[in-house]
This record gives sequence, structure tokens and C-alpha cells, in this order.
Amino acid sequence: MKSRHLPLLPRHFSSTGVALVLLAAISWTLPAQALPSYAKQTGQACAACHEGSLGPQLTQEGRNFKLLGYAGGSGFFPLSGQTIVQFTNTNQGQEGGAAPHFGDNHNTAVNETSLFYAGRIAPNVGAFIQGTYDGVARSFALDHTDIRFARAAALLGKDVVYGLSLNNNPMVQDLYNTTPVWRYPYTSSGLAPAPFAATQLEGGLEHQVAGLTAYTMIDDLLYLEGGAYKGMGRQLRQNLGEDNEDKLSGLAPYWRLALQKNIGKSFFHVGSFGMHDALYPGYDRSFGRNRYTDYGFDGSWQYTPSKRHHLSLYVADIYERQNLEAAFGAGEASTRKQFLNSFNASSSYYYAGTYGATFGVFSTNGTTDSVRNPAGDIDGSASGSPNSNGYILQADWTPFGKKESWLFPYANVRFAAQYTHYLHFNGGAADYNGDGRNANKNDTFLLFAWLAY
Amino acid sequence: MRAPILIASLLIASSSLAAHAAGDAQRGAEVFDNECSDCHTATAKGGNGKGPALFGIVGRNAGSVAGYDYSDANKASHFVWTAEQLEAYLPNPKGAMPGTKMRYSGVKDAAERADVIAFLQSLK
Repeated sequence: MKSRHLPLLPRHFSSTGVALVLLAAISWTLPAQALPSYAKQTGQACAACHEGSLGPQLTQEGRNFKLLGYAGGSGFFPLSGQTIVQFTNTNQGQEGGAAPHFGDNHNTAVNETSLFYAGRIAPNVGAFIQGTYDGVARSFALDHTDIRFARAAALLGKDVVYGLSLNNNPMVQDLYNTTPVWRYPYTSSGLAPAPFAATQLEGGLEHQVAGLTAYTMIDDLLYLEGGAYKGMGRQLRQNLGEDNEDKLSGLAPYWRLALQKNIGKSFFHVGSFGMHDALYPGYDRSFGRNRYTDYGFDGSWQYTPSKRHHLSLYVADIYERQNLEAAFGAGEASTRKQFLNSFNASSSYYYAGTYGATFGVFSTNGTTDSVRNPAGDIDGSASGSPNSNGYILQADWTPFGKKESWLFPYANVRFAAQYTHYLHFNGGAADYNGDGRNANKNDTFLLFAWLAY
Repeated sequence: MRAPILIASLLIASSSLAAHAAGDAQRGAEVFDNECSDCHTATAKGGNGKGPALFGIVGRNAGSVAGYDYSDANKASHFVWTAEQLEAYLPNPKGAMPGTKMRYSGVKDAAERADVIAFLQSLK
């Protein structure tokens, strides 16, 4: 299984207060050439496309902009940047440091700094290409990438959008905020423990593959998408700064369908998605492949009676069938056939696109296997179970991002507090790892400032 | 036989006009702000945004604002933006003009539609 531990962050600042003040100072002094490129291209405020005026949570307008290939609007300045500064406090520290160069607890770090090509490339062609310096791992890599061609047309008297997406991460191209790449929480601590179990669609092939999918939206009602992913070469992945853990065998087919409808001031969608992939773990072909098939089901509701009120609800479940031929053959799993299920739901409310509160729950459960999931350190599982669950609360303030905002459309910022509570972590509540650590010792209080420019 | 039909037609037409006349331009300005202003301007000096400028739209031919790159569907529609045409278009723009760039789902509420049409009529 892939580790879901997020990167850890160094002590760049002596206190969170200093970090936030510095960030605020930076935001006041941004040079004019540092533009949020989509806003510049469309002439729209961040709030038009994003609930809460910042972050990946899309409005109908935002989904349509993405659907049409990031190519709408008449402006052109496709470069943007982003910086996220975090302060992380866990209920109990992590002995030996939350990450190299960091302390056991109470860590402040510039979690990530990104540069984007984000906007039109040509008529009907646009891109979202992110390169990120990870301030915890202290490395640079090609991050989310989605290059699109799209057109709107009339077919048999119906409105039809059709397009292609070339991307490096299954579901990065998805329109809805229910699926792993763009779901809540929209940013997490880079220095807090996280459960080890995750399905393949939750980052298993992230940035290690190249995929081409074709999609269509028919009559603003039915969305269909299909395509496949292929593993990038080892050298290419190294050049792009990505991990080289496993080799994808052959093509990984991917599918997505959704029904959506606007009724009054509400938007609804229900859908399904999935992928099948087979991996040679560690590039070792001695014992065959581990095969995974993910089936996802999701739905959302957004209620926007006016610009003052935005209420959203997102739900998704991913069930993964695993055939661990390679792991079993290598003695790293006790049974071949296993499963993993991941459930996520969240609801948010934003007032005036400025003040927001979000509540989310998560639950992962799967096959108990002490060989595959041994007891140990913070990562360990005394029971061999991958089961984890809990909730995440967030309150945030996004003072800019509207047309009347100061510095529009040059900069935007969000300040937020987030709390994660684990009811179970890696299979247990008390002494989950066999080393005396309780699940709630990984509870995390996170303060962050998210600057877009 | 023709007189009753004529009278009925006039009654229908007048009730339609009355529905438009019943729109409140002031409330329509609020609807415009909530639903349209992200993409359109409504002032004489307002330029094109993601959508074309809407000042003076009522009575105008579709696809006629200088400097705006309209979709083929819009240019081929030959719509004239009368109040009646707006009433037919606004509940579901993509249904009324398949292939349009405007992906907006529409003003579903009849009263809000009447208000925003009244507001658009006042832009001259």
C-alpha cells in the first residue's frame, strides 16, 4: 500500500504569527506581473468560479470553464503562482521529528510553492500545468497537469460539448469536488501523520502516468468520459521529480459518467467512475503483478440562492478490489484477494464568498492482513487492519477574490484553521500500532495561509 | 369567426406584455447582479467581459456587439433580443441556442426572469 503520509515541513519561522504576518506583507507587495491567470483571462473574479472565492471548490461557472478547456474569455496571461504556509500541531509529537529538518511537533513551514501555466494555449485549447516546490521534502516536481481541447456544438438540436484531456493523474480532470484529487480537505498538513491505506484512485498513480481521455457533456445533463493511462518511463519520471515506486503494466482504462441537473437555485449530480490498473511493485517482475479495480460512486448538491449564500454537500465512495499476486508471491501479503473501501462526505457553507465553515467525515476499511500491515511505528497497525475514520472541521476567511476586492485580479489569500480528529487510525482506537499510541494522538490542529498570485 | 380569434390573440399578447410589464427593474438589477454580472456589464461604458456587454441589448440583433468573439451558434441564430425572445431564451440558454458559449443554466424563476428583462429594457 502506498503511504498516505504527507510531507513534513521545516521550521522556517519561529512562530505561526511571524509566518502569517510575513505572508500578509508579501500579499500587499506583490508585483503587478504576478497575476491569477484565469481571472485575468476571463475578467471574472475568483468568486465566480470558486465557492469561497479560493481553492478548488468549483461553482457551475467554474465547472463549465474547465469543461470548455480553460479557454474561455478574451484575456491572455497564463502564468500564476501559489504559496501555502502551514503551522501543524498534533495531539502528540512524532519522536525523531515530523520529517527531516523538522521538530517532533509545533512545526511551521512553507508547505508548497507552485508556478502554473494556467489558461488558454490556442482557441479551444487550454491548460492547467502546475510545478511545485515541496517545502517539506525540499524538492521540485511536476504537479497536477491537465491539457485540454474542447468545443461546444449543436448536435440533433441538443447542446453538446466534446473534448480531450491529456493529464498525469487520474481524476485531476474531473469536474466535481467529490473525487480524490479535488475533494475536501483542499489542503492538509504536510507534517501530520495520516493513515497508510488509500485506493489507487486516491493518489496511487499520481504524476507517474500519462493519460488521454475523451469526454462529452450532452444537453448539460449527461457527462461521459473514457480513456486510458500509461506509465511514464523511469528516466522521465526521475527527470520530472516523481517517485519511482512501481511500474504500471500496460494500459489502465479509466471511465467516468455523471448525470447533472440545475433545479431552481440548486445544482445536483450523481455519478460513477473507475479504473483498472496492474503494477509491478518496485519494478520487480519476479512474482507477477498486483491488480486493482476501483469502482466509485458520488453525488453532490450545491444551493446558491444568491451571491451571499453558498451551501454544498459532497459524497463519494470508492470500492477497490485487489488481486495481490505479486505481494502474495513475495510473502508480503497473506492472501491474494483483498479489498479496500474509502468513503468521504463533506458539507460547506460560505457567506458572501468570504467566511466559510466546512465539516467532513472520512472512513476507510479493508481486509485485515498482519503480514501486509504489520505493527510498528506511527505507520503501524497492531491488528493488521487498514481501517481508519474520523472527521475534519475547517473555518476560513478569504477577504479578497471578488471584483470589488483590492488587488483584483492580481492576488488572493485565504486564512484557515482546520482540526482533524481520528476515531480509529490504522485499525484501532487505543494502542493502534502496538507501540502504545492511541488514534487520537494523531489529531491535528492546522493553521494555514494560502496565497494565490 | 375571425373576430373571436383576433380578440383571443390580442388577449394572449396583452397578457404576455403585461407579464413583462409586471417585471420590476429594480429587483431585476439584483437578479442581474446575482446571476449575470460575473460575465456581463450593464453600463454604457462597460466593455465586454467573458460575455458581451449588455447595455442596450433589448432590440439588438444577436451577435452584434463589436469586439466580442461570438460562437457560431450565436451568429447563426438570427435572434433579435426582444423581451419575448429573452423570455424564451433565459430559462435555458443552451436549449434555446445549442452550441452557445454561454454555459449558464438559466433564470428558472418566472418572476425573476420578468424582473431581469425589465432591468435589461431599462439599459438605454
